[in-house]
Order: sequence, then structure tokens, then C-alpha cells
Amino acid sequence: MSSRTQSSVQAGRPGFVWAAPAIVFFGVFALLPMFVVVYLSFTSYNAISDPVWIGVKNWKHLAADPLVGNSLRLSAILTVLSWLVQTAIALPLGVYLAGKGRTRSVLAAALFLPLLMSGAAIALLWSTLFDPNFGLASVVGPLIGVANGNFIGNPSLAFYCVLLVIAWQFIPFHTLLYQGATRAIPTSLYEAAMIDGAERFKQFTLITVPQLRDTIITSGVLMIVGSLTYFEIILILTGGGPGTATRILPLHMYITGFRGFDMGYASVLAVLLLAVGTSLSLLITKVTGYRKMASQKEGL
Amino acid sequence: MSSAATGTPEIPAAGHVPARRPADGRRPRRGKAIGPWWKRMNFVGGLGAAVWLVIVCVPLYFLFVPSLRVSADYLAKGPLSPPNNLTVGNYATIMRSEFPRYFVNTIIVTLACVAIVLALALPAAYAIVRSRKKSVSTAFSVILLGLAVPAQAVILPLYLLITKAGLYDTLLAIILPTAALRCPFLSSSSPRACGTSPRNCMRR
Repeated sequence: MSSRTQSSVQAGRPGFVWAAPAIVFFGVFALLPMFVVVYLSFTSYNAISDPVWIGVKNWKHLAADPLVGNSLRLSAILTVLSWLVQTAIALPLGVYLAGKGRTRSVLAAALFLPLLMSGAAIALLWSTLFDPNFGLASVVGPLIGVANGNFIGNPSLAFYCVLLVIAWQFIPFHTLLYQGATRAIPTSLYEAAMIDGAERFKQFTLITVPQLRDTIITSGVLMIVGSLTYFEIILILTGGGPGTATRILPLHMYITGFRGFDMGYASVLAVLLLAVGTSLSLLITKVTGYRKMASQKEGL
Repeated sequence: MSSAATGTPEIPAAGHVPARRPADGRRPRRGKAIGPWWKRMNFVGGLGAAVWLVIVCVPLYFLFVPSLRVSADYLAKGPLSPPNNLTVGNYATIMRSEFPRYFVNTIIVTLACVAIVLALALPAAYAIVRSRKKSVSTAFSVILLGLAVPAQAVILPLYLLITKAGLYDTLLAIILPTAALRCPFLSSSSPRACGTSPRNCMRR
């Protein structure tokens, strides 16, 4: 494209100035720390005195830490299962709630209630529910084969408790995304489908889901990247336990840094987290074309 | 498609096209399926939504109702016991504690974050959608990176930066990083919203 057509395309459109304040602010509090954390990973730092350069010692420790492999594995399983469970519930629910009718509006209002709660509040609420002595778990447990009602203290069940609570917290948000996106699908498509005689299920699979493609990608990126940062819920609900059964990577980093005051080694884990999270979402955006954000409907 | 035979009779000529209204003057309702009620009702969807409603509401019940009970009553009779002797004493207790201060702190942090994010991210989102400049799309890539960066990965250096800046133990220590890490989210989700508004409406 020649420079003249470039400038005529750009005429009357906003320039970089509009984005500059956001970039600067974001740079100081999000990009700069990313470089600082790499520096910290080569230091010994106990959060009180200044960091001292010690070279690659922390990185050598990484290879010897058996908890890293475990926490990576747990993070991976949690990410995949969270994405599956949340999409499988949020997508149909969002499509259903996008329909008209008073029942659905009332239902939607109730279903979006967890959106109002912070992660910490949700974790506290569920930890009282999971309390094996006084919580709902003490009543429900015996009915479904956990005689003592101790879900949260059982190494093989605690992980699924975490999965449930995370789904409970995040499904309303993704349902909202899907509801909004479904409402934006032109009704003419459904009218055409009806004339063609497509039943509801066919309309769902042949129109709704393909039209929701962008939203599925957006919500998937958010779920997958978000699941690397699930943190306060697990910290409050299980503290990473029992043992290390729910100690995912960010939690391992937190416990090392702020409980063990080994911030140098915790920074190594943070760099690892950064590398995994960033490469994962770059991969997703590359594969799915999420970045093509320019308006697709300008001509309408 | 298979249902040419079965489907067609269910679609009357009128009722769907607003221009041609049926003789009885009933307003044609958009998006409503036509046919007997058991075909119009979405049983599968309704059932699924009802199940999820239970899963959402049971914890909310245990959030709200025990707040009106004294703990002795709750602990002695179990979680499922019907609440009697409802009391607002628990609320009085927290109002006498430090709670009001915490609440004010929360409000300050929230308002400040919302103000900062809106002031910074909305112009950025506008530029991202409407601009054709290379610098803006590069900026967008950088901001998208922020969506990818797990916030927890930067809490250690943030702790260092905040203490070095003398902001430790202040509300600003919460507000600034929170707002900064929220910016990518708004700037990347609002382009879709902006982008769907026809450009004609926004012609200079």
C-alpha cells in the first residue's frame, strides 16, 4: 500500500495518542514487573533486606524441587478440566438464557448472582459448606458414598472440590458472554432456518454454535489463561492440601515466597508461570486468530 | 434438509414477516417458535438451567440464612435444620467491629479502579478498533500480552516496587496494580462491542 492511500485510510481515525496513557500505565505496573521478576530470580531476597545477586543458584534448585512437576501437572489438569466443564455448562446455558420470556429473565437474574461475589468470599462460603463436621458436606457426604463427609480433606476428592468451586465462580461470567453473543446473532438466520425446517437442535448446532465462534475463542482464552491464576480460592479452601494435592503452580509460588520468604526461588517459579501462561495464550491467539479484532461489521 | 415435508406446514406465511400481519391483528412475536406448546417449550434447556439454578442457589442459601441465626442453634441442629429464632445480632456485631472501615476501603478501591480503567482503556479500545496505524496494532499486541500474563506472576516484583515506592500499607498499593492489570481486559473486550456498531453512525 502506498503512503498516500495509507494516509487516506487513516484520515479521521484515532491515532496512537488514544492508546498511549493505557500503554504507559500498563507498562509501569505490568510490563516492568515482568522484567523485575526475571532479575529477582537471580537473587536471594527475603522480602525485608535488599535482593542480593547469587547467579543461577535458584534455577539449579528448580531442577531439584519435586513439587514443581507436581504443581505443573495439577495446573495442566485443572486448566483442561475447567475449560471443558465451564464451556459445557456456560455455552448451552447462555444460549438458553438468550431466549425471550419472563421465566428466563428471572432465571438469569438468579444465575448471575455469583458474579457479585469476590473469589475470597466464594472460597469462604464453600469452605463452610465443605466443613466435614458442620457443613452441608456432613449431610450430603453419606448420601453419595463419602461416609465422613470429608471431601476437602481427602487427597483424591479435594481437587474436584476445587474444580467445582472454580466452575461455580466463573460459569456465570461466561454464561453472560454467551448470552450477549447469542442475542447478537441476526434473527434472519433463524427465520431462514425455520423456513428450511431446521429443528431447534439443528439450529443450535448449525447456526448458534458457528456464530458463537468468536465468543468461544474469547471465553476459552480467558478460561485457560485464568485457570493458571486460580489462586485465592485454593489458598482459602485447601491451602494447597491435603499434603500437596491441590498445590498448583501459582500457589506453590505464593507459599514459597510469602510463607517461606524465599522470594528469589519464588521468582523462578513466577518466571516459569509467566512463560507458560504467556506462551499458552500466544499460541491460542495465533491458532484461532483472536487478534483480528478490527470490526467485521463496519459495512452493515 | 430432512424436514421439508414436516417443517413447512408449521411455518404459516404470516406471523414471521412483520410486514404481513395476520388478520386477527395479533402482533407477531419475534423469535418465538411456532407450533403446539410442547414443541415451543425447550425442555432440555429448561431442565439443565433448573439443575444449575439449584447448584447456584444452595450455597447462596447457606450464605444468607445462617447469617440470621446464632451459631449455637446452627451447630447443634445441623445445616439443614429450619431456621428459627432469627436474629440480626450478627449484623450488629460486625457493625461494631472494624467492618465499616473495611467497607469504606473497598468502596475507595473500587471507585478508583473503575475510574482509572475507564479513563485509560476506553480511549485505547476506541483507537484499537478504528485506527489503521501500525503503532496502534503493536500496542494492542502488547496489551493482549497483559491478558496472557498471570497476575500472580508479577506479585513478587510488585511487592518490591511498591515497598521501594513507599506505598506499602496504603490503598494505592492495591489500586494501581489492580487497575493496570484490568486495563487489557477492557481494552480487548470492548473492541468487539465498539466494532459491532456500524461505522456509519460514527462518521465524523
